[in-house]
Amino acid sequence: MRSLCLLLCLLLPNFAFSLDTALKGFIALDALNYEKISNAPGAAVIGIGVLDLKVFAEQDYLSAAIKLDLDNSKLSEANNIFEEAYASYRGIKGWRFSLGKGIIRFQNLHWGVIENSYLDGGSLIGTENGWRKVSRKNFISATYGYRGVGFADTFAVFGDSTEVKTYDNGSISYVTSGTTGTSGTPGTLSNPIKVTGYTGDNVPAFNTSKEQGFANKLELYRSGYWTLTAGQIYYRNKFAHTGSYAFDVGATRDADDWEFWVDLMWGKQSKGPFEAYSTYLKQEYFVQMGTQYHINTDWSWLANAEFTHVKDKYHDFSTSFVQEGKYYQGDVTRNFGQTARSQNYKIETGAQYNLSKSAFLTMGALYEKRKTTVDIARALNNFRYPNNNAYKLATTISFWF
Amino acid sequence: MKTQIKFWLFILTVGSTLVSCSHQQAAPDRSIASEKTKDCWNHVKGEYQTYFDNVEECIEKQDHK
Repeated sequence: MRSLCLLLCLLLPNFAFSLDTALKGFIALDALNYEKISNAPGAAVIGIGVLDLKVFAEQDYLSAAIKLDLDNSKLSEANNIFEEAYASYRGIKGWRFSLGKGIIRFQNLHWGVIENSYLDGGSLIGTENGWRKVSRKNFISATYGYRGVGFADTFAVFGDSTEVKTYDNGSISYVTSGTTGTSGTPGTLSNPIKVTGYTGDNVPAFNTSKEQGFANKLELYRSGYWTLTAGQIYYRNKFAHTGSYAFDVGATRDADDWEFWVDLMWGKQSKGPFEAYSTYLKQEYFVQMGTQYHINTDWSWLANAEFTHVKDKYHDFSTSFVQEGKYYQGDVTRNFGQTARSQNYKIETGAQYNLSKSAFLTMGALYEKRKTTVDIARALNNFRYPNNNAYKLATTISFWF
Repeated sequence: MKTQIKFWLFILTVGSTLVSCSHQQAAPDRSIASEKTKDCWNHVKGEYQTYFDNVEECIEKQDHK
């Protein structure tokens, strides 16, 4: 027996596989920021801007990645600690198959100068655009091509990682808060129960009978510097009255002297009446253009401009509905079938200093303006900053490792 | 019997060492790969939206030498 154990120990090294793992991270610290929105007091902001950690593991043709969502996560909810968790197989030449939870790519996303893109929530006074970075989705995808052959096309089928809770009899579970009436028994026609949302469940897999999502992104690599992108996305779930879709084209020049990034997107979006950021029908446009000029190895100058226009038709909650003999109604003070049009634009410029190979200091300024018009005057009450402008002065330190 | 076991253990040990050494011969290839990937890593920039994609590209290229 002892000899057998010895034999096993001697042979074990020959059965060992090569497993490579890596832990990578990105941290941006707001060192000295000052933000001012018109008609609101200005304030200094100091702290952590973004914090992301991603673990990669690779063995032969298989790889896996988990991205922890440390700065924007409700850790108490199941499956919520990770923003991405997927495995990929690259055993067939030119192909890459992935499965898991993560980002659905169709846009040409790029950080601005001192603030994130409108497509990833980078606004001081708020934007109404619905087609933002599509993250936290359960997906299966296939990519054909890679940089070496000059192109890559990724097609993904996806669904939400949060599902609306339904009971065995098909009825929907709502989040409720009091009643919409002032008198009478709660749940009756004169005093319906007030619905504030659907009850959501974090799920590790999606069901195509409840939702369908498709996305495609084509990337063309040209002359060693330019990457041209074209993306499309379609998504529909059973709560929305129609499907949502968007088209995006972009270009990026990545070089040691001038860098450029451009992104244009047009889309329509519809969501169920009680979904988060609900809309009956939203039509939106987005444009981003930016540049970075490397003056020398240490210093560079940056500029970025973005514009978004959104026409938003709201749901109408003026009538109640019945489920299992009880009357329910949404918040009619916020949703009464109004239409709002909003435009945001922002311009940023700044200088960047390379502290080391993987750290830089950015000093810059941002100006943003928003204009909102509504067809029913009281609809303006829905917005915190409907017609405001804002500026920000920032010094941020970014590290990646 | 014991002598025979010791003999075969010795043979297996030598065999295992030789096999391990032959695996070690793959090291120059891996170092060539790492030269290529070093170039890839040099092009990874601190742009927040593309950083992890670029990192993943470099990590996966280790097998696509």
